[in-house]
Amino acid sequence: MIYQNERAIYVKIADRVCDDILSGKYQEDERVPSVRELAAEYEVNTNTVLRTFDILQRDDIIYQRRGIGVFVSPGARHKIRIARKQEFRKHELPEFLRRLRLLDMTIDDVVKAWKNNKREQ
Amino acid sequence: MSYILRTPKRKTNMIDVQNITFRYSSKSEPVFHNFCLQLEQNKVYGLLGENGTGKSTLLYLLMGLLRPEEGIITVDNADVSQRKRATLQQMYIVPEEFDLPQMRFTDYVATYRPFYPAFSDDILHRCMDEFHLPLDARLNQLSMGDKKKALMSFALATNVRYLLMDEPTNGLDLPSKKQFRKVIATTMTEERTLIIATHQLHDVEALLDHVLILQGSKLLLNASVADLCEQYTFDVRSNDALTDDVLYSERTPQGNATLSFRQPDDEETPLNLELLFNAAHKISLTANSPD
Amino acid sequence: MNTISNILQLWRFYWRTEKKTYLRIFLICFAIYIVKTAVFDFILMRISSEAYTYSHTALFYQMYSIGTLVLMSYLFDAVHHKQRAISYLSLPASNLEKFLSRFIMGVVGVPILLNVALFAGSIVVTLVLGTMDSLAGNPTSWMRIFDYYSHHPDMAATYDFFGAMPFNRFLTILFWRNMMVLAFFSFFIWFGTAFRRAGWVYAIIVIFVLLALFILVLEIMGILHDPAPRSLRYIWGYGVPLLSILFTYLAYRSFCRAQIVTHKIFTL
Repeated sequence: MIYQNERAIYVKIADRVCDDILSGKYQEDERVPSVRELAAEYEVNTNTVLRTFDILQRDDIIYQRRGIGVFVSPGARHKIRIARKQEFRKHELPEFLRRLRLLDMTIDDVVKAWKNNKREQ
Repeated sequence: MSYILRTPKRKTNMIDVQNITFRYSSKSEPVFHNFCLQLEQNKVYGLLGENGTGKSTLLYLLMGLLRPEEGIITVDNADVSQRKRATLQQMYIVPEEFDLPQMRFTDYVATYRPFYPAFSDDILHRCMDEFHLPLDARLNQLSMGDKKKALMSFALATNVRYLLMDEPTNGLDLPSKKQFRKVIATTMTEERTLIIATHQLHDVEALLDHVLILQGSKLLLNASVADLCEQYTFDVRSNDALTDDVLYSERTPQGNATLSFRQPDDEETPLNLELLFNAAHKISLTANSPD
Repeated sequence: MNTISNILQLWRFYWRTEKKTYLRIFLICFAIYIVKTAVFDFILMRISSEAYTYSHTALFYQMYSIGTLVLMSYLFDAVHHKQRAISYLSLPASNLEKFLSRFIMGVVGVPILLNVALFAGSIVVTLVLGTMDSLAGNPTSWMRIFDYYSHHPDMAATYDFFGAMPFNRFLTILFWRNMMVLAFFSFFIWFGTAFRRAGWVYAIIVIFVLLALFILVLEIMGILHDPAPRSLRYIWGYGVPLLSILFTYLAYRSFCRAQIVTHKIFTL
């Protein structure tokens, strides 16, 4: 069993940028920190951040305006949520179900926990 | 009408070590024998190796402070052992140990900056700011770590094309190491080649573009981080997952840290420099980077 | 020319980094002169005029000469200490510019510094003695200021050449035996640069050995007791400048080939 298949650093930084977009720190059509600023913040090589920007641009989360900077694409928050839902369905959900089975628990246990959690909210 | 045939532009901005042999005295073993290496611009090189493997020696050779008995080292196509002004103006070395004169830092800067035409006050201020050091600090009153940070600020401010650092994080406390990483990340440029010789792998792991592992006058590994992450997978596995495809593994509190070939469908994993370093000493590692 | 401004830039650099050393040398020469004058010219003369001879003065000039040569041999001493060598050799200036800037500094600057220190010393001595003379009602002699070289061994030889004007005398004595001095300077600079440690010791030994051999040869040839033939003067006249150039070149070569760490005792 592979415990931690850590994601590449540039992917992790992309996740952080997406977190910041979701939380509203970077609004749509607003400027995102430059490559150098992000490299300094996460203490990584600038080329790493360039790869981050590559995948974010590929997924249309950000867009670049030559000479001005990099901005959050319109609809980015929506795109991020959809992508993360897909991630969850592909990785964490099957893993969660596998562990349920391993611990001899059923979906009813999950529903009960869900209802309790909702009541506390 | 005449057409001038353009020859393809030779990569001139680089350090070329061509078949050098170097030994400290005629009786001792050569530190380098028929050694070759090419260092390009816009890269942060990590020169790694156990103590005594010749990291410092290589840096001194690159600067022209030591002369190979055979072979030649060129920087931008100029023989570096000639110590020409134009060559030295584009190079700077931050040694592991150094003495600073008894003056204020501003005086030190005023004394040395005329020799570096590309010097940038802006970078100097930003670095000293990040390091939390006053510009007019009295150099002889600073601790060793602070002296290092001040000299590094000057080194980065010279804006040279080839910046060499010998164990830059030695003697720095944890917050200072963090400042160091930030400062390197902010000041790296496309024209610069940064070579960091160190055995403190964790301090530089995330900063490197290219890994050079030196042992016994040979390069155990000469590969870019991108290529390494593309070819190999670094993860932590339980004992039953130690399958045949694992090239190298080490026990850690989390499990077994493993190095294995990456399958094309697998997602890339972040480089585990310490694991890579240890693996390189035990097995033969190759990557697709040209020598 | 670019080289000239680069040399000036290096001089400015040396001044900023080494002025404390220059001051120390000045003060030591100054102090030695004051002490020598106080002990020999003053105390000893008052005690017994037989014990006091001007040969003491000549001895001190020999001492200053040897001191100057030893100082010269440390001109490129930075190259023999790893950390200073790293700093100096990686400084962006060509080997030639670095060599010339320090060579001129040594060959011109050191004699000037020495003379200024002695002159300053003689001013102090003159003021003190002048004051004492005034208090005792004796006539003061302010020409004492030039005393510091008045008994210089070269004085008699150059007097008839250059006349009695103090300025002329000063110039000659400043560079003492002109070309011969340059040959000695460059020889000591060469040995100081080429040897990793204490090059001046080897230099003195070599000179003594060569001198002994030379005198031996002259003795054997029986020349020593006859007036020197003209050919010897030509050898002397042309040989010494050529030797100066040779030693300077060898010193330059040693400097160019210097490395920050070396196991060799002697770098050619």
